Amino acid sequence: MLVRMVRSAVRMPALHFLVLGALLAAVDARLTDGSSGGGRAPILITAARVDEIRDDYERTLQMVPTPADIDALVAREADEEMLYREALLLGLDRHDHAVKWRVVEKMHFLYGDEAGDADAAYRRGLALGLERDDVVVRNALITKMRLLAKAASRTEEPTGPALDDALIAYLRDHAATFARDARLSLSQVFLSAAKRGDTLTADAQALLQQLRTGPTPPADAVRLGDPFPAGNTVADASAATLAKLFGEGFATAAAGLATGQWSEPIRSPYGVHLVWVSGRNAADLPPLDAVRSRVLRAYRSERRDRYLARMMTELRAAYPVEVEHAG
Amino acid sequence: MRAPSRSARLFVVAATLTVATLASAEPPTQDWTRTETRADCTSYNALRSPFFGETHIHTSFSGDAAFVRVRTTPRDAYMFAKGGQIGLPPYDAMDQPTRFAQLRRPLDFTAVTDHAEFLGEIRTCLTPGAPGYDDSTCQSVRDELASPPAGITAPIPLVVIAFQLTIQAANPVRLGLCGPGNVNCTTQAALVWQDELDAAEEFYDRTDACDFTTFPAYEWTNNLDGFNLHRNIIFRNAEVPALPTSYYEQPLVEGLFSTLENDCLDQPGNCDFVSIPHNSNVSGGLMFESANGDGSPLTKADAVRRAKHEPLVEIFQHKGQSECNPAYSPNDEQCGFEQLKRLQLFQNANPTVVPPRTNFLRYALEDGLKLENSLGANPFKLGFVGSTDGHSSLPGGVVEEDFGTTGHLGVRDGSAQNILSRIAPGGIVTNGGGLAVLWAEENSRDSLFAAMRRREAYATSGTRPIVRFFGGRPPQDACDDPAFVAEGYARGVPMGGEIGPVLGRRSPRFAVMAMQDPGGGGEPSTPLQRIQIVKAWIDGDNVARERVYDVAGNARNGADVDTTSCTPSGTGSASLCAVWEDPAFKPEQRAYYYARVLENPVCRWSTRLCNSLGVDCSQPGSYPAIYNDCCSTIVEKTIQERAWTSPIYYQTEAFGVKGQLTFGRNTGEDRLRLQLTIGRVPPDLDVTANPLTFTVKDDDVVYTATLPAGSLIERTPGRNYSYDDAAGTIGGIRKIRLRVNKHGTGVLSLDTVRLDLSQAEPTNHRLSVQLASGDYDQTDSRTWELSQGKLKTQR
Repeated sequence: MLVRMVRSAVRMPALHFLVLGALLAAVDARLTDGSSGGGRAPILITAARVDEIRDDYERTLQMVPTPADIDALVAREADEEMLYREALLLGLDRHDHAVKWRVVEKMHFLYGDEAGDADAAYRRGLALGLERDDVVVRNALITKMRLLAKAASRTEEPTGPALDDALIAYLRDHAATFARDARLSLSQVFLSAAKRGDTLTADAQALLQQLRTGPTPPADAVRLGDPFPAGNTVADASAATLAKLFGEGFATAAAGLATGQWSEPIRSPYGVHLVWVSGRNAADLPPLDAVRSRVLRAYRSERRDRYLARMMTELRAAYPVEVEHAG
Repeated sequence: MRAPSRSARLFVVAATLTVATLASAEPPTQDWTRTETRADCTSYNALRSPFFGETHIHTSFSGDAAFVRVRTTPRDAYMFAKGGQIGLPPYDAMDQPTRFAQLRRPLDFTAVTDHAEFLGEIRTCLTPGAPGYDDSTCQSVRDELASPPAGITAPIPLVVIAFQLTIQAANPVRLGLCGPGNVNCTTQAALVWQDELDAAEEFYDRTDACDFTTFPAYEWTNNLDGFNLHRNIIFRNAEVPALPTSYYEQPLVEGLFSTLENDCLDQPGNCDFVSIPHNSNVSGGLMFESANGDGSPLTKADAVRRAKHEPLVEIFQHKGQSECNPAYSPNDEQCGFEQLKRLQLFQNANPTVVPPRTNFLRYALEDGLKLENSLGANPFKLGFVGSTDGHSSLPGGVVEEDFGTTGHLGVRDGSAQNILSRIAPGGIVTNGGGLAVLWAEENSRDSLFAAMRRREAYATSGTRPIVRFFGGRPPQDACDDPAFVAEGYARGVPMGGEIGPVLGRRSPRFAVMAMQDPGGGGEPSTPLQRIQIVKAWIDGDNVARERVYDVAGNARNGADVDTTSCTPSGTGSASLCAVWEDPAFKPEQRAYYYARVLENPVCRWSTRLCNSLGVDCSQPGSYPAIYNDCCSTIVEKTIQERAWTSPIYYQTEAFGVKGQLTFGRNTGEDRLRLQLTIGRVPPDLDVTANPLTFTVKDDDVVYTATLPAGSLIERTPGRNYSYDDAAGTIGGIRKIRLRVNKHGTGVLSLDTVRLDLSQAEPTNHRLSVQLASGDYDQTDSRTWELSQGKLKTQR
């Protein structure tokens, strides 16, 4: 059944992370182990290559790159070369599906049916060195290296209560992203400007007197005044919700009202409202459980970026880069 | 404290009277149950609140969006909907976006609807090592994406054409890159679909704050022969099939429904969906032809099924309006609004095109009424929403001020020159799109989905006015009644609902109230000009007719806008309200009614953009030729933004009840009198051949009786029937009369002998009266009021 097949395909990548995580540890070890010659052969970016980079940029974007643009692009070129070479040192090209199929494809192109079956073609292609200096293989290995770093961030992720602690800390550090707005519950009696015209202010004051004299509880008061399509009672509304129904001016004014009493008339684009705020919830940070999946995702994303940055820092320290400038 | 003025005193007296005479109207019953695990919303409102959202938006997961260099994902789309800033193409060499967009006001809900077709294809071509990656078509995809985007006058890239052609074929076949059995593409599609579901889950607020709702969703993209027959499938919750069914698997909509019935509705659990079609305006008349997709004639079962799965349609979006057309509605000058002026999506705009009649919803819905007469069911019983159909991950990106700088078609809308041309598929005849507004108890999936199902929805052309529309028996003075909303629900149905002859032969009453968009986030808001009610009906000669009534506001309020400065002038209304009865109502004629709310005019987005480019049409040659379309007449310079409510459908086979239950002095001495006015006695109500069962209920059964078949005597064929039994041996029925006039309107009266009706509560309360006979089964439900020992139907 397609459903089952697809589900197992989705599950497979998780296993790879464990293996690749171990490989990243190997990268670290090689780079930081000075005794085995942690330094690498220098990377040379020729003037011709810099020209190629400039031409690609101009052709693709129809713009002339600034010197800063060129520097950034050259740095990226150097980064990718480091990743590629390190991948080869780690032997990531061996047993790699993308590399295998690329080699097999090339063999079929060169030899047609004489290439043999996939495994035979692959062996012969390797012997011929078809995987070297191949753009597709290079890109695949660069991607794989980046994935290694990201995978390592997962394998070294805290678990259980330690993970919860890390997530809570992340939540607190990013309070602005996850904070919940302050909320108001209120009842309102509406007096329509369109209906009352010049008597609007007087009508509002008179009604306010009546309400305050009672004091009329909100449940009864909502039977007074003019019809309002969004209703007379709003529960637990954020400022954005109040603005949606009553306009921003009303939302701002309501935020400053005292609870448990009838307010002075508050303006909206439609007239005035006599408002009774019955409850207020201050802005707060939600409990972790309420936003766990979002926090976890953001936390992991930040860790992935950090691990990748760390790997690049170590690689840049190990690989000297020389850039040839045009005369 | 000065003494209250006379008017204020009168007001106080009036207010007190109002309080005293109001029967406390019950809010509508919640018509849904929760099908997912989440907190209840603290903002729950039984009288329902308006929620503004997007039901149709594409991200880079859609093949065509990827081709216009869009890179933003469903997560980016949801972030944008919530008020975050996202990037737009073109991207620079460091992969940074060169343009940005942000909403001025967030949305309440969004459904990301990427195309099911190409979902896996693009991912295959961009994932090194994936099977199919090395296919030559994939190489072409990568080459295309790596090269500078073609100008809009250049031919469409061959690889894009190759993709598009597959979804125009009647028997569609996926591209070869998908491998044997399409396994390459379906494997990747499943992973992409899982990404969509994960994004929807991540941004769905399941806490009691109920800030934002997402829906798993996708688009089924039927482009048969170049005509648009697309549907968006919106799922109710996270229980969804493992793969979205695309046009490749099911090229006919009936087949799509079958698969969704099997894989969703009929599965154990709570999977559920609705289908929302769009762009009937470029469907070659096919989307709403009166036939099945394979050309076979519609049966009643087909019609029931279609209406069940498709409760809503996009009446307005980026690619124009589908409401009506001046060629078929010469008396409705509003039908020229935002016409796409193309017969197919990929044709350049042409002001002289006359599209087929059934491209437009007004006439499609009329055909639906005709089919209801002939089949007994209406396949096109639709409510209205607006959307964008944007391809740049900008849900709700509809503001006139902003659309000219962002567009909706990725890099193809990346320059003013592009966005102002009339070259297909985008350009100056398109617009930012509209919004979907749902009246629901809370901002959660189940509540919003239920609103979609019952069509309690309205569309806007991009602004956010708040509109209520009720039909039935709202009070005559509803516009002065603070309980307008509660009475609207208690005494009738909201927008999207169905009514019968609720006031006998008299026209039903409609109450409509609109508040202008309050503005916000720097978005200016515009006063309302007027409210109209559009009525369409099938007349006695089986001809579809329409008429537009102005019911509130003023068409000649002199409102205008200076197209150079975009400064508005003239008066308008912050709020409008009307109670209206149809002067031409005939109980035997099937009809629908919807409200259309018009704002005062403002500058159209193209006018704003052209002004900002310094184009002065009074000085030809003073601006670059690439902006010539600024001065063409292919679009208007101004726009009256608007809202369209879902129609209220008038059902002729239903009946309105006048009734009286007289409580006797002693037990067993009560009497019941009912008078049912049936709009038009339908063929399946055969009172001589079938038994007749009457049931009156509140919480309990108050009265029920079944008259056996053949008891009613036909005195005049088709016109007069009677039954008499002074002893009331059958169910206490003493007398029944049925009189059917020459138009088919029937009045059926029933009188009982004295019997025990003590199950009825002697208070004002709601009673339902049901008549069932053979396949006929209708119920009228309304408040009965107690006065002087009698319970009488409320008028």
